Order: sequence, then C-alpha cells, then structure tokens
Amino acid sequence: MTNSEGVTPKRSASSFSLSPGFWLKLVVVGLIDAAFIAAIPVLVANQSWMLFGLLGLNVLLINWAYLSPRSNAGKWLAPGLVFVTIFVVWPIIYTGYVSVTNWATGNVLSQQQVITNLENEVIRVEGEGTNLELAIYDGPEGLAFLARQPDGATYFGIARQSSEEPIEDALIDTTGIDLTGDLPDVINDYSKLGLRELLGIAGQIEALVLDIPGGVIQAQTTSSARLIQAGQRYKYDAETDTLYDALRDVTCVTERGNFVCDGQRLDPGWRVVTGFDNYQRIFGDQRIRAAFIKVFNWNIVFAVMSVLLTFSLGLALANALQHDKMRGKAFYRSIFIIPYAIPAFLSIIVWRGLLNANFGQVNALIESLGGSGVPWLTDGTWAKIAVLGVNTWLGFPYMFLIMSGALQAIPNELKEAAMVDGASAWRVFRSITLPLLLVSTAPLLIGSFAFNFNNFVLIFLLTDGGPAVIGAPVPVGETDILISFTFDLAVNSGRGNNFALGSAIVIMIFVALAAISAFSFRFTKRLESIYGN
Amino acid sequence: MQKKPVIWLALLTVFALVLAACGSGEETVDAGDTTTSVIAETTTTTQAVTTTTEAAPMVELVIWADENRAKAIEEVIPAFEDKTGVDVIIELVDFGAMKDQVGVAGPAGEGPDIFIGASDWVGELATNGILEPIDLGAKADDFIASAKDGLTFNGTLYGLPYAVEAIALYYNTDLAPEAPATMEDAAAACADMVDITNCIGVTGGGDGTDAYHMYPFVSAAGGYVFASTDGIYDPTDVGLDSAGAISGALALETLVKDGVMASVNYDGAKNQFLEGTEPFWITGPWELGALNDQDTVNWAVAKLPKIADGTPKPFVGVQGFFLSSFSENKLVAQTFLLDFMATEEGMAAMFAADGRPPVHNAIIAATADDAAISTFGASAADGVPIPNIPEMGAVWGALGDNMAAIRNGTVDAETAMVNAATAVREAVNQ
Amino acid sequence: MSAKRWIREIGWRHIVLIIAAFFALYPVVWVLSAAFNPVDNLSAARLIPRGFTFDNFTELFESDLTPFGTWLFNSWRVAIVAASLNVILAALASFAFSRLRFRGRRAGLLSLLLIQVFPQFLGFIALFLLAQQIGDIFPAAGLNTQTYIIMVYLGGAIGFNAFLIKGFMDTIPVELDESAEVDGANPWQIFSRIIFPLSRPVLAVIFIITFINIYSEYILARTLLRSTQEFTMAVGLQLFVESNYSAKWGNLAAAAIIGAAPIVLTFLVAQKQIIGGLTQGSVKG
Repeated sequence: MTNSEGVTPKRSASSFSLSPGFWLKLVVVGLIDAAFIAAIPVLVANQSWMLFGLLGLNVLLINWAYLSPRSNAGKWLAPGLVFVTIFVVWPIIYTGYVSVTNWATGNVLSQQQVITNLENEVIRVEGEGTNLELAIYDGPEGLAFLARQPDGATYFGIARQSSEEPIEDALIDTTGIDLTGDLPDVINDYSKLGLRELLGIAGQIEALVLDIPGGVIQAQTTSSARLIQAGQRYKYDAETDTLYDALRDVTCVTERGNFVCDGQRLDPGWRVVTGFDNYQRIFGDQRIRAAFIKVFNWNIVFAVMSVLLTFSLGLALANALQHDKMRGKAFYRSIFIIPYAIPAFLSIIVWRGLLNANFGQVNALIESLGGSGVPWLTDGTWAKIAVLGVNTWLGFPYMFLIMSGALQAIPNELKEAAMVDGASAWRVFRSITLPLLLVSTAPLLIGSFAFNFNNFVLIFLLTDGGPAVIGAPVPVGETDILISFTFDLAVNSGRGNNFALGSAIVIMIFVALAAISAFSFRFTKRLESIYGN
Repeated sequence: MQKKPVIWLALLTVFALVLAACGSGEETVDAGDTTTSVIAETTTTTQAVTTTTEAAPMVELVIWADENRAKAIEEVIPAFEDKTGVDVIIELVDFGAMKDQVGVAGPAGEGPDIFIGASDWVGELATNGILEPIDLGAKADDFIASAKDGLTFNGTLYGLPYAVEAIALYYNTDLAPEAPATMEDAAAACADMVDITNCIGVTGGGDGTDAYHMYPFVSAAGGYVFASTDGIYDPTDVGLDSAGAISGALALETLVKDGVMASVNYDGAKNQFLEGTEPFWITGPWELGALNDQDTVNWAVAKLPKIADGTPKPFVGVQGFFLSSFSENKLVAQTFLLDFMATEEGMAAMFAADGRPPVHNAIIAATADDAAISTFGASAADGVPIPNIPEMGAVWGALGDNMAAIRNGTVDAETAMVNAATAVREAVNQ
Repeated sequence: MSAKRWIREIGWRHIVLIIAAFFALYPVVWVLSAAFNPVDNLSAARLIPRGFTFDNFTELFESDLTPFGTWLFNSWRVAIVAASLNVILAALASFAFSRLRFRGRRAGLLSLLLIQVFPQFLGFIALFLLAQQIGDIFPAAGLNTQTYIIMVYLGGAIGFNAFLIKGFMDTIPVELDESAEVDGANPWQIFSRIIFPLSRPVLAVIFIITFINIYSEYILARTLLRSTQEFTMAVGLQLFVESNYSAKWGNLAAAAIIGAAPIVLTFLVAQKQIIGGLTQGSVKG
C-alpha cells in the first residue's frame, strides 16, 4: 500500500470518443434496456414488484454508468454493484422489513392467502368417517356424480360448478337400475369415466358439486365424496374488512393480522407491519436483555480469540517453514491445507465425536498419556476452549497460506540490516516482521473477525450453543454466539417460529458488527500511516 | 504489454459461461407421451360437455420426502403412474429442514403437493395454514387410533399415518440373557458383568441433550409436558415439575450416581453397544437395520424397564403423509393418498422400505411374528403422543438441557425439573 | 552444518511442524477410518475398524436417489463459475478504487466492506422470494437453478475481494500507467494491458479462496436448490446425516474424501504459484 493519495493522477472522462468501443457499449446497454422493457408486462402481470424495483434500479444504474459523460468510476463498479445491490443490500433491507412485522407462527401468509384458505373451508353435514362412494359419469348434459352412502342410499345427478346457483332438480331418477354391487359402467346415456380420464380433468372435478336435498356432494378423491352444506363456512367482506362465520353466525373483525371472532383469535393469520415491537421486546424484556449481553460478550471474545489463535498458529508455522535450508516444505504445506479442503460442516461433526467426554478419542489420548479426561463439551469453560480449538483447526490453514505469502514478501535486506545492527532474532521479528505483516494483512484479519463473529455453522454443529446455562429464563448456552442464540430464540420461541424477532436481532447484530468493523478499518488506516512509507 | 491478458480474461469469461450453460438442459421434465395421448382422448369423448371444453392439462404431483422414505414411495409410484397417467415427481428434502422449507415454499407457490413428515410438525403447520385436512373416510378404521391421534390437531386429522415409533430397550443377549423388568434389575445385572464400559446406554447426556430419549423418566411416575383433554392440549398446564416427574428424575439421578448410566451422546451409546461392551441400549426402531447388518453382537428388544415403579410412557412419534393447502391438485393428491397409499399394498411398501412399526391393521397382523417390530409396536402402545402444539418448541431445549444437567451431575434432579418447567412456562406466557 | 547447529536452526522447526501436522491430520485419520468401516459409525471406539470395505465409496455412485457424481460435478461447476466471475468483477471495481479519483471513493469502498459483513444466509427469505419472482419471467435463473445460486454467490464476496485486490493494485507503480497514458492508452487499455496482468498472482489466490468458500457453502444452497439433480455436494451430503438419528457416516466420510482430494491435489501441484501470488500480494517496497 505504497501509494499515497496525492500521487495518483486524476483521470477525467476525457476517454469518451466515437470509437468502436463506444458503439459496442451502446449496443450492450441498449440490449439490457430492451430486455428489461420486454420483461415489464410479465413483471406487472405477476405482481413481482420487488423484482421490478430492483431490476429497474439496476438498469438505471447501468444506463447512467455507461452513457452519462459524468460517470467516471461508474462503469467499472456497475457490474459488481448490480449483484451487490440485488443479492446483498436488498436482503438486508428485507430483513429490516421483516423485523417490523408480526411474521411468526400463525402469521406467515398474506391476507389474501388466509382468506382463500378460510373460504375453502366447508361445513360438513355429517361427522368424520361417513364418506360416500363416488363414481363420475360423462353424458350429454355434462358430468354426473353417482354417490352411494354407506347404508346403500344412492344419488345420481348432474354436477354443477360450485360457484353457480344450485340446480333444483339435479338428481336423475334411477329406479330400476341395480346400484347395489359394483357401480354400472353405463347409466342411461351416461358412461362411467376411468381413473386416467378422471385425473386428466381433476381440476374441473374439484370445482363441481352435486345438489341433493339437505346439502351438496363434493368429490374428495376420484372414488369418494363427502356431504357438505351448500355454501362455504366463511365469507369475507372486502368493504368492511370483516369475515362472516356461517357456522357460529358471528362476524369477525381484523386485528393486527388476525380475524378475531367474539374475542377469539382465528388461525391462520397473516403478516402485517406492527412497528418496533420486536426491538422493544429485546430491550424491554429483562430476560432477553440479560442473556443478550452475556452472549454478546462471549461473541466478542470468541471472534477476537479465533482471529488471534489462527493468526498466531498460521504465522508460527509459516515462520518455521521460512528457512532456506528447510526440507519438506511442499510436504508440510500440503498437510496444512487439508483441514481447509475438507468441507467444514463435516469436520466439525467429526470433532464433536472426538471431543465426547466419555468415549471421545481426544480424552482417550489424554488418558493414555496419563492425564485425566476433560469434560470438553459439557463444562462451560472447557466447551469454550473446545470451540476455540476446533475453530483454530478450521482456520489456521487460511492464515498459514496468507502468512507464507506475506512473510516471503518482506525484503530480506530489512531483516539483515537489523541483524547487522545486533538485534536478536526475536527483536527483528517483533519490530520489523510483525508490524509489516500486520499492515499487509490487517484487512484480512478484520474480514476474519467479521466472519467468525457470525460463525453459525461452527457453533450450531459443534455445541449447538451448549452446555446450557442452568436456570436461565431464556434458553441460552455457554458457547452461544448472537447468531445461534437468535436462531434458538426465533425457532424455539413460546409458539413455534418467530422470524420477526429473529430478524430484529439480526439487524442489531449487523449494526454492531458494522460499527466494530468501521472502527477497525480506521485503526488500520493509522497502522498504515505509521508503518507505510 | 502484449494483448495476451485480454484474451485470457475473455477466455475465462467464456469458459465460465459455457460451464454455467452446460447441463442445465437436463432439468426439463419428462412428460411421458403415453399420458398426453390418453388425456387427449378424454378430451374428445367429453367434447360436448361444457365443463371440459378446454384441453386437459398435464397432471403433475410433487412429493417431498427424505432419502429413506423416497425409496419407499418410489415402489408405489410406478403403479400409480401406470394406472392414472399422472406424473409423480419426488424431490428429496432432508428431514430436519422439511418443516421450515414447506412453510416458506408452500405460500410462495413453490411447495410440494404432498410431503412426508412427523406428527410434531402438525400444530405449527396447521396454525400457519399450510396443511389441508385429510379425510380417511371408510378407511379410517384400518388405522390404529394412536396413530391418527398423533396427526390430529384441535380435533382435525391432518395426515395419513404410516408408521409409529417409540423407543424401547435393546439388550445384548450374551451379556444379559433376560430382559430386565426394572431399571434396578438392569443395574443389578450389570454388577456381575466384566468388561463393560457402561451399563445402560441412552443419549441425552454429555453434549447430546435429548428430551425425546429422556422423556420416559419424566412420564414413568406420572409426569407430563402439557395436560390434555380429548387430545386438546392446555399449554398453560405444565407438568414437568409435578411429583411424578420429579420422582422419575430422582430415579435417573440415582442411576447416574451409581455409575450405571454414563453421560453419553447418541454415537457414544451406539458405539458401545455395537462393540459389545454395553449390555443395554435405549433407542428406537430406526436402528434395527444397523443391528441386522452386523454380526458382532447378539441382541433382542424388550419394552422399557420400569422406572420408579411406574411404566415408562415414551414419546410416540407418528410418521405420515401431509397434504399442502397450497396444492393445486388436491383431488389427485387425495386420490394418491387414499386410493394408493392408504391400502395394504401401499402400507406394506412403506413398511418394507422404512422398517418402523406399521399402523395399518393388516400390516400389523402380517408382522406379528417379527418380535422386534411387535415389541416396538407395544412400546408405542404404552406411550403418549408427542404434543403437536407449536408451544412444544419451547420444551425440547428446556427439558433436554435440564435432563442433561442431571446426567452430567451439574444440577440436582429436583432443581433441574423445576428449572425446566419454569423455562417452559415463561416461554409460553410471554 | 554441525548437528548442534542443525538442531538450533532447523531441527526445532521440524518438531514444531510435525506437532502441527499431527494436529491437522488428527480428525482426518478418523474420517478415513469411517470411510472404510462397514459399520456406520463415526466416533468409533477403534481406529482400525473390525472390517474393511469399499462399499461406502461404491454406494455413492450407485444410488439414483443420491447421485453423488452429479453433485460433485455441480459443486465444481458452481464454484468455478462463481469464483472466476467474482474475481473478474472485483478486479474491475478495484481498478476504479485504486486508479480513479471520484467523489465518494473512500465512503464507497468502506460501505461496500461494511455491507459485506452481513452474512448473506441471514437474508434467506428475501433471496428465496427473489428466486421465485425471477423464475416467473426467466425459469432458467429462478429457484432450484445453479444459475441463480451463482448470481447469489457473485454478490457475496465482491466487496471484500475488491478491497484486497485494490491493496495489491496500489502497489503497482503509477508511473507505469502514466507512461501508457502519455502513449495514448485509455483506462480500459491500462487496465487490461498493465494492471490486470500484473495483478494475476493475487487474482489467482483470491480465486482459490473464493472457490473453496463456495465449494463448501451449504446453508444458502440448501434453501435455494431443490431437486437432487441440482444439488451441490455440500447440500447432498446433508441428506446422509439429517435422517433422524440414522446417519450414514460411512458414505459421508467417503464423500468427504472424494470431495476434498482434488483440492488437496491442486494445492500440491500449484502451491509454488499460490504462495508466490501471496508473496507479491502483500508488502511490496
């Protein structure tokens, strides 16, 4: 990082010309615009407003970046920014939106879906287990249902669309036709449809009912039907935004994402924006707040220690290999890459088995060396040590790689000069090698910190946050980090999932982590100005 | 500088895009020509009918199942496809992620028509409006009541059951020829044995918190999670610190203190049993396959030994088929479930592939000779359904953690049960 | 070199490295053991299993339900495509940050970095809905397609990668592009003929790191990929362990070995270049 800001020349937009490159650019941007415009009708038809907005925004960005004479860096940044805005920024904004809703078990659908769901509900005339046998016939006047009660009574008649008005005399007289055994293939000029034919028109059959005295018959499968009351149980009135329940004869009002009938909440409900309730709960609920602070502290320790440990081990190994007369460099390097090459989720599960207090191989090894077993995953302190140990195993190869490169890059003359001046090897390392390394790798260390801060996979698979803090009012474990704690709180809340509460915590984690990172980057700036030239 | 790097950059991009494009053509669904022609025929025969003038669409049924169960339904599907011309697509979704995925994908219109899951999902999914009720109709009597109860929520049946499972006792017949009647008997039997590392192996200790495997200790002397009347649970009546639950926990504590039950997780308990150094192992029928595959250990299955003078009531999980309320082919899906799966053949195929105790009366009768299966069935008959209300989410962690604390000796039995009950009450009341 | 001096200068290094190698390989040995063990058992009580079998490997390629070969291919495809495009986009952006002066340059770079500390997987609901809406107009890039998940990964690490590449580009003397500019080169020519080729070493390393991260990513892939034909390896392997207690450790371990081997081999062959890339990447006088 040798360039100080002033040295680099200012580059203007002077490179604009009517060169072939310009025309190519015009064509490409034109194609993107055309594709977007062509997609607009579909987007509108599907009501994909989210995508419409995002694409529109990015198309504008591209047009500006490549066509505006004032755009300078824009054309270099635009390709990457398109993906960053759609797949990173937008999810953050959406998470923010979820955090101010009531999105939790019982409130996951949209209001329209809830209404459809409820309006599909029918009132059965008779109880469970009294389904009718059904056959469907095709004839001159349309499809006809033949339904037989368990007691042998039969109904045969022309089915109608359930949305149409009832037919008074839908039933056809079947006197003289034997309907006791297997149902006949032909009745008058109606012929029975086979399974294949029926399933081919299943969508139409679903919409049909047969009127009989006291109700209607509706197909349940292609061979069975149920007797229901004509008309549906719930009816939504869009004007008053209320729901009428025909069975209980009550009108239900809407309240915070649910229909409430006579003071009783009706499930399912739908998602609505409820404001900052979830944030208030995190700060206002003493139990959550206490756990939150405890977890936050360990989270910082965990992330910092993870970086420190992987950094030191990686550096130590890179340093040990860094000698002209060392043999077997390729051998060692290949071994150290292995933990990095195995998919992490798998090696974490293996470590979990190895660390088992009673039967794990780690304790077996310690015991065979004369030590006594360690409660790795069941004692709070040891579990924390185990988590850090495993994370060091997972992370040191990366640091080792980086450090190997960084070490080789430090000019030998610098070290030799210091040696000549009589400095000890440790002294040289401390005052020359380490500072230079820190300058060049600080961004990586911050990146590593940010990654480990939210290292959900490690905690979830190794300890699942455990061992539990005994007697804690909310489920929290000794090794829980914010993200695993959030997961527990969101998934195992008092009543199923609570996405909204989880999202609120995620947003808070994001803000905290961004603040810490921003601060760290300022700090690296200082480092640079001290050690950089 | 030469031109080379530009070419390199271009090549890399082209290579990347080619790679991205290749192979993506495979995913087109094989529509099957025979099916299409049959539907076309149907259309002609019903041409005069007003309701069927438009061309019949290709009917497709999407089923989500995990690997094991996918194998089972794969056997039934060809017959169904042949008879009906419906195209069945099985998508593998891992069991642990299924409930959440159905919850997100269903409302978004990307979900399955049918999925295979467990009874403890029913409450949450039904509350969310994801599940469609299932009406077994005349077939209801073919299934045992406890299986139907497990899939019933607030009085409505939401699934077609095909298996039940509850834990029981595996014992090493070389070490312990007789099944113990009580936990004390098991402990006493171990006292005479040599070369054992652990007497009774059951997960729920060490790092393996597991409320499911530990529940017999809660229930044996009368403890319970939520009180229920007629299958409707009252989440405000928590029985984890009732006298019965505490005496069960005290019995557990004694076993731990006597060194009879080491604090192990699932793999620990399994390994020791398979190594022949653990005479007793408490777990479910899903391990029958692993035991049948090995020849190191001679084993048998018995009902759970009595705990604190009471018969343990293990949690009974019911496996079943669910119908999504967002399915656009409900009639087809119901036909598949009721006319093809809820039959003796369908249920026999599920049993053959999955191996868990069956719930269809005919299959139960057919497997009566299988001692292990019928013992697991009997254990399930002693058990209680896993409460399927959404509030159960708060129980697993709280109960599992505190039972593990007893196993690890960090908290005394009574305090642990009070802690568990308090945590559940707080979570439910918030 | 005397033995004493050898020990002082070289010997201790070997001791440290051997201990570290033991640490690095320790769990791997158990993965190997499980892969050849006929009993599905991970934390086996014995290192040398009672039996020895290749079944765990052959089974992987036999089942239609779990087409491991396809998964492996998908993983490589997704990781190579996403990582190379990611590096290219990041290189373009870092050129702007390193060589151009524009309003909001520092703020822009910093915001890009800070945005990137948000773990993408937490926004899975938005990513899922987006996939569904894209699928409505362009099914080949919607839910359950590798195209979509590649695009998601493209957004994932650009900011951070751009930052690293920028650090390297800053070390390339400005005099080079100044003289090219005098010769009449435009920014694109300076980028493509001078800066990009000179940055190749760091680009290669960032490619490898991004590749490995994507290769083992599974939380997003699990949400966005549906059918077994589209799975990446990491998603597919979950099927072996999430089946309610009856995990297939043997298959899993065998799969891990097959999955990790190419990476280790690549590294074995290319390690000089990789370390070399890092060398030039960091501190340069």
